[in-house]
Amino acid sequence: MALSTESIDAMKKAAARYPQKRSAILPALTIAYRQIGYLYDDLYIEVADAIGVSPNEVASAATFYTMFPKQKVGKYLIQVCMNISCGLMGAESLKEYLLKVLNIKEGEITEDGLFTVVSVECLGSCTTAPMMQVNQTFYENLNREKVDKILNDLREKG
Amino acid sequence: MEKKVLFANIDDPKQPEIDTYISKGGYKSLEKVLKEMKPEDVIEEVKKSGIRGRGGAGFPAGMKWSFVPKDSPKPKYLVCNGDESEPGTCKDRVLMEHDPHLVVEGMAISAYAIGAGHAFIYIRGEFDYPASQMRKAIDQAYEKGYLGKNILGTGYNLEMIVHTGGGAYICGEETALLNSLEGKPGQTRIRPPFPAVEGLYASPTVVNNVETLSNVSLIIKNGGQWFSKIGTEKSTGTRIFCLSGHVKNPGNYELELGTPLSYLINDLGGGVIDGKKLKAIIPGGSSTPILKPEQIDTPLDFESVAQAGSMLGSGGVIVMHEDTDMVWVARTLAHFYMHESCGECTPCRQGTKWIYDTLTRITAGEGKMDDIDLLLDLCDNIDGKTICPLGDAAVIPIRSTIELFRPEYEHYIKNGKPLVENKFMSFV
Amino acid sequence: MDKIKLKIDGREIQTEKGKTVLEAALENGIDIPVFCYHPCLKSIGACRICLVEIASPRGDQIVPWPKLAVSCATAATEGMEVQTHSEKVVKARQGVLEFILANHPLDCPTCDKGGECPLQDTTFKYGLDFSRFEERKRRFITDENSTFDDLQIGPEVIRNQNRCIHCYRCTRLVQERFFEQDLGHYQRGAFTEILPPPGGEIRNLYSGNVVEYCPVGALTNRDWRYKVRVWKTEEIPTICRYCSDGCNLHVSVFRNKIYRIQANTNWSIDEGLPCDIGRYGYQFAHHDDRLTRPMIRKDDELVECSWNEALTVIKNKIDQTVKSLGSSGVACLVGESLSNEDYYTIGRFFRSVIGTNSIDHRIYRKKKLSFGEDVVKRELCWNKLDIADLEKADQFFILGSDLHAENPITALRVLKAKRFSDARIMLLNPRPTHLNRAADEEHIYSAYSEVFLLQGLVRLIVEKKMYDPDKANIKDDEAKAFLKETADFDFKTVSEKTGIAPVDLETIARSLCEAENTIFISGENVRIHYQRDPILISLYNLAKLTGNLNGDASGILMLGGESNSKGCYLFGMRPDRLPYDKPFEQAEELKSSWGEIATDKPGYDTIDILQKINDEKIECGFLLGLDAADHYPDSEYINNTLSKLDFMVVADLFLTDTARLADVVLPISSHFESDGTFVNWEGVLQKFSKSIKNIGESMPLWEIFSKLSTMFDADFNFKTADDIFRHFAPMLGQESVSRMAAIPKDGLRSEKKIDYPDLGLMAVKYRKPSHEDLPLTALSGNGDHHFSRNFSTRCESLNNFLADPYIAINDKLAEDMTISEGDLIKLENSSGKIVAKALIWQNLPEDVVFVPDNFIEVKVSMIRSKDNDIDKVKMVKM
Ligand SMILES: Cc1cc2nc3c(=O)[nH]c(=O)nc-3n(C[C@H](O)[C@H](O)[C@H](O)COP(=O)(O)O)c2cc1C
Ligand code: SF4
Ligand code: SF4
Ligand code: SF4
Ligand code: FES
Ligand code: FES
Repeated sequence: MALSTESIDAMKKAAARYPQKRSAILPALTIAYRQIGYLYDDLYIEVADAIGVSPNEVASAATFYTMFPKQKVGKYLIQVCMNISCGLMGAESLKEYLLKVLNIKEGEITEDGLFTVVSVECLGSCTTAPMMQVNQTFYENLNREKVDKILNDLREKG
Repeated sequence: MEKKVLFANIDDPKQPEIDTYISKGGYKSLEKVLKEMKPEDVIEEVKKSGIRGRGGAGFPAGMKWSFVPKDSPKPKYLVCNGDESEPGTCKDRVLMEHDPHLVVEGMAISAYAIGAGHAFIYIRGEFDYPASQMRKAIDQAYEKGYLGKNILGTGYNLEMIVHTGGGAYICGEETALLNSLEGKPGQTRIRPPFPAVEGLYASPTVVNNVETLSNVSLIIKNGGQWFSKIGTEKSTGTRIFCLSGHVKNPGNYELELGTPLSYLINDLGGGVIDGKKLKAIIPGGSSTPILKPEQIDTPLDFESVAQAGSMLGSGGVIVMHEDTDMVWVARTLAHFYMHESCGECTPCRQGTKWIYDTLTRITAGEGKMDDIDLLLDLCDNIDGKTICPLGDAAVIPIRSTIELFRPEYEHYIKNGKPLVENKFMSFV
Repeated sequence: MDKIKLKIDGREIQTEKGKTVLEAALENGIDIPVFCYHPCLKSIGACRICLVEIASPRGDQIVPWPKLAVSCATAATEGMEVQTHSEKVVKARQGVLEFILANHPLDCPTCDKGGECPLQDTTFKYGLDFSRFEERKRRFITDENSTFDDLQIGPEVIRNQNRCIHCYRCTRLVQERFFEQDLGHYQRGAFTEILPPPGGEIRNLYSGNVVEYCPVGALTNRDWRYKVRVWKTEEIPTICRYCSDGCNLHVSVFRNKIYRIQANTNWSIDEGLPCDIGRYGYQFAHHDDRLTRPMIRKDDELVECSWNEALTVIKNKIDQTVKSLGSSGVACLVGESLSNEDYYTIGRFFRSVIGTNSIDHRIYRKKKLSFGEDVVKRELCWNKLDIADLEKADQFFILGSDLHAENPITALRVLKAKRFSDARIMLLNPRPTHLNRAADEEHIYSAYSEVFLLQGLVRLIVEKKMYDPDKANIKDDEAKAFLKETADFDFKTVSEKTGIAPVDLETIARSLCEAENTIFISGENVRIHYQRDPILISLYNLAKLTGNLNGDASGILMLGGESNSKGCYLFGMRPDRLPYDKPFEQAEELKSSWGEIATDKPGYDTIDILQKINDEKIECGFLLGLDAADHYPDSEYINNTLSKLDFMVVADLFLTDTARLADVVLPISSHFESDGTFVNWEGVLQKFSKSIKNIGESMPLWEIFSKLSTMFDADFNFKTADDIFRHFAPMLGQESVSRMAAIPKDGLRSEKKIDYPDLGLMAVKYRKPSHEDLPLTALSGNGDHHFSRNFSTRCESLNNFLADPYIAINDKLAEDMTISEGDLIKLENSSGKIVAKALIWQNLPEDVVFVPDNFIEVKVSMIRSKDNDIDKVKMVKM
């Protein structure tokens, strides 16, 4: 069992709020993702058990949605918006810079296990482009100094 | 002109607190509605305001509500669409973050109007902070008795639930949203039946955008008449425009409908950065046709923008300067639509991929002249032939860039490199 | 139905209101290509191949629609004008086809679907003959150049994702119609994959249908692929030989061998969705175990012999018996999946040639029934509904029936009613059954407490006056009398005896009273119940009280049985009934063709036959298509009894346990080897056709008895099954049908359905069952993908779903006894013992074990005793 009892309880609580428990699949996956850091097949079965739906329902939803990584990622998942507004403001260069200073390719984990960088579509932060999301937090109006500081702070936090 | 109706309190850091909200007259509209108005009256008032949906399609809200069958024995649902994933758009987020009670109150009133016992707000999964702001506000509203059982002693019960998504643009489309809310993959449903008849859990459901619903308490407070006087005759009220791209002061601005685009870009936005020349404007999010610099005086209302050959869409105004490679723009957006196609219908699922593959080949220097006509024909084979408007949307940037900037394509194909090199901010 | 008029391609067309444009077109022979549409599924308008151009009237103008519309999901409306071949439509259709083909491997020569592929056909008809797609095709495997991405996703289904065109028929079928979750779509967009869930397989009871539903070769059949090309096979219609639903099937034959079975849609029965048992259940036909020659016992060994020798011995032995004991010294027991032609011939032989009426088929019953005659008579009007009627019901009360495993197609209609009109399903059983996946309520009652449960409910409804007096037709004094008579069935006692909480009892009662139309269904658990009749009478009471006795979407169904259980008694396989269920008093007509028949007194039924064998009053026994030694619910008794027979003839396909005891064994042909007819539980008579030559020297029973008749100077002269059909056709009451060939494609439906008489409320008595004093009650039924014995377990494909017997026990019990899944356990009582692997089954009551009744290795009859109403056992870990 990978899921903690707290996670399972939270999932059950979520399921109880909806008129139909299947609706709790996304909330439950969110809980699972926040505890484990990524999603995988066996976890779908656990989630399904927790909220009382079938693994098929959980897995077909989970794999449709792209927000949850389906492979192990670094402790800090950096998602760089590559869409139009950010692109106009240098997103391509931002991503290249991140990959360079972290010395990884897209999707890889840094040696210290801290970072993974991936490209994503528009994150709804277009007026503050370029931007990136680190785990749940948005970092906006980025420039090189800001990025350096963010990375340093995260490294320090470990 | 800039007119802060929704944004009246947007700068008050305490606004998300319910006490602050109440102290400024908040929840009075809800009280008035529950105690003094019948659901039909509320719908009538909203109809009077003339408000049209702010989510993209611009459908009159009051009319949509009146489609809900009154005699249906099934439960009814209200769903507030906070998926906000259209590239260039980030207005709903501001409302949810900075004035969440305005959203809650609007939802509660609307739910009452359609006879719903459950109201959901579907927020895109990446919006963790806005979602937590909404959750906090809803908790406070429950505590104060504005939500839950027997609200304000009127016997009206309403459960309000924040539901977060999992990363899928298509879930902004109302039927995909409903599937997603039911825990399914976010694929769309064919219409009819329309959600108002058969929506969430096959029950009558109204889906409205965050901004649309945020207006509702103000309409009740000030009257539909008041609202209808703002803006133009057919485009009433204000709208929040998200100004992004190559402008000096990007940001969210609330304008009276009918305000010229130039006012937004130049007066509020401070014009194009680095003194460069304006090249292109996407006026309503990535799914709307591009406007040329000479169209900058187009008034921002549904009709005028349509006349200019584009759409008001979701209010995402994206500005591009002269050093922008339009083939790159097309390919960036083609990637987006391919990635976000739900995969249900053939033309969009296969067509978006084919278009992207072709553009990738062109930008890799392996294009052929025939590719341009091929792209246009693929667009033609997708447009109007899909289940949902995502397919139609996907062809817009392709057609629009080819129509307006064909020489850039030809140059790319002939020379294997762009006519205009992107010159954007650099990090290295 | 309201009619509407519209124009398609300029042709004026009439259709029913509510139909789609596509349906209107297809009905009128106008061709519109489809991929994702299927009449059994809700339209989702996904593939877009069926786009048409539409204009419809507004005021006095015909206004064109702004966009093309999918005909499969657009309602046809009055005055509409539809173009299916306009320039716009042709362009759009070619565009869609081009998009589909863009990522389709086009590996037709190596694809198993080739020759019967809707995509191939549509491409020939509507496609462009060149491709503009130059990009790399989407590949689901790393090898960019190979299209072979075979993935076995279930015991019988193989997936090639590269060929998938994303019509979602397969997943919709599984989820929408089967209420299963063993196939889904994963990922998104062009990379959407069809897969079973993590750690799972597609293995639901209807799984083979996805292969037929797939319009390309993305889903193929393990059993069939690469064996033979479709254009080489001959397709022959048949009827399933397993359950009493009677699915219509198609046999694909090549060089006298069956290669597969597919649906042969009968809309009023199977809707083209047979279960896997019917689909893969043909494989026994070519099994090595098939008997190919008659056998005769010599020096205590069965040795092969000629037909002539076997029949001569039989003839002599019959003569000898008749001489010593009279014709009553001969008896015959038959199985329930022989053809009507067999039954008719068998009946004629025993009644008119031998002169015995001791013929029966009810081998499953231990004791005579308490109410006997009365209910049995009513039994005839019992199943007065058709399968299709189930769709109209808004509630099902399913009691003592594992409907899913006993009548899979009936179960599908119940599910259809749930899916399309939100019907409620109430399941009441002594153990969980798989239909619970869709049930609104599932109640597990204490085993054998049915009488308490039902009479308790009746009483509750009467006592609390929950019934609608208009519907129930009950007078006050009648109600009072009933309450008095059933005083032992008070609320508290009933709840205690059944183990169902008082609130639940009340909910059940209320739901029964509130629904407009309820259908009551009972099955095997009731059929073999020691108190069957009180149960049926209580169901009758419930139906009456709730106004569900008669009507076209309400009533009582007594299901279960086998493919021709109904034909069995319709064609006289009972000691007291003549063909077409005529009583002896109506024998005159028959005598004119049969000659003299003994109608002075009925023959013996199964129970008496066995007794008379023991009393040495019967010494010559025929067991035809019936493995009595295995079926009879008391292994010791039946074996002892049969070995007392002086002469025993067994006719079967295999050397069954019963055949091993025989003096003469006759190899019979399967229903694939002869024409014939079955009657399903609705009473629909359906024809199957000979699809392969007889295996070895086997013969159908009708032929055997026709041959035998000549030895008795009573030549029946039946050369073909149709010869027999012609004989009984006049009894079917439909003038136009005098030959088999005239049987309508969807079967011969007898119109006469008798309404139930209103017999008032009838109080019943609970009789305490006799049983040993042991802790566990042994229940049995069909295991997954198996049906009855000897046949399904000889089908490799079905064994791929479940090959081994097991004993299912409750998880707590397992824990208490430290039994883990797979451990060998023994069930034991004074009758005998059985040993099998343990299977742990949550929700199974702690005092119940379940043993699938299909496997020859584990005979449930070993732990059964005819002297006990209930078989109790103790369990030992090995
Ligand atoms: C592909 C697609 C994406 C959409 N995304 C959103 C969205 O993010 N937010 C939104 O409010 N409406 C979105 N819509 C529009 C919704 O389908 C729906 O029309 C809207 O929520 C109705 O609300 P309104 O009438 O208040 O505008 C989208 C539509 C499409 C076709
Ligand atoms: S147009 Fe695209 S997103 Fe919309 S239903 Fe079709 S495949 Fe899905
Ligand atoms: S596997 Fe076949 S039936 Fe299923 S979606 Fe693909 S093409 Fe359709
Ligand atoms: S076993 Fe019954 S349901 Fe299955 S195919 Fe045969 S007749 Fe149909
Ligand atoms: S384009 Fe990057 S946040 Fe919208
Ligand atoms: S058949 Fe109509 S959309 Fe597929």
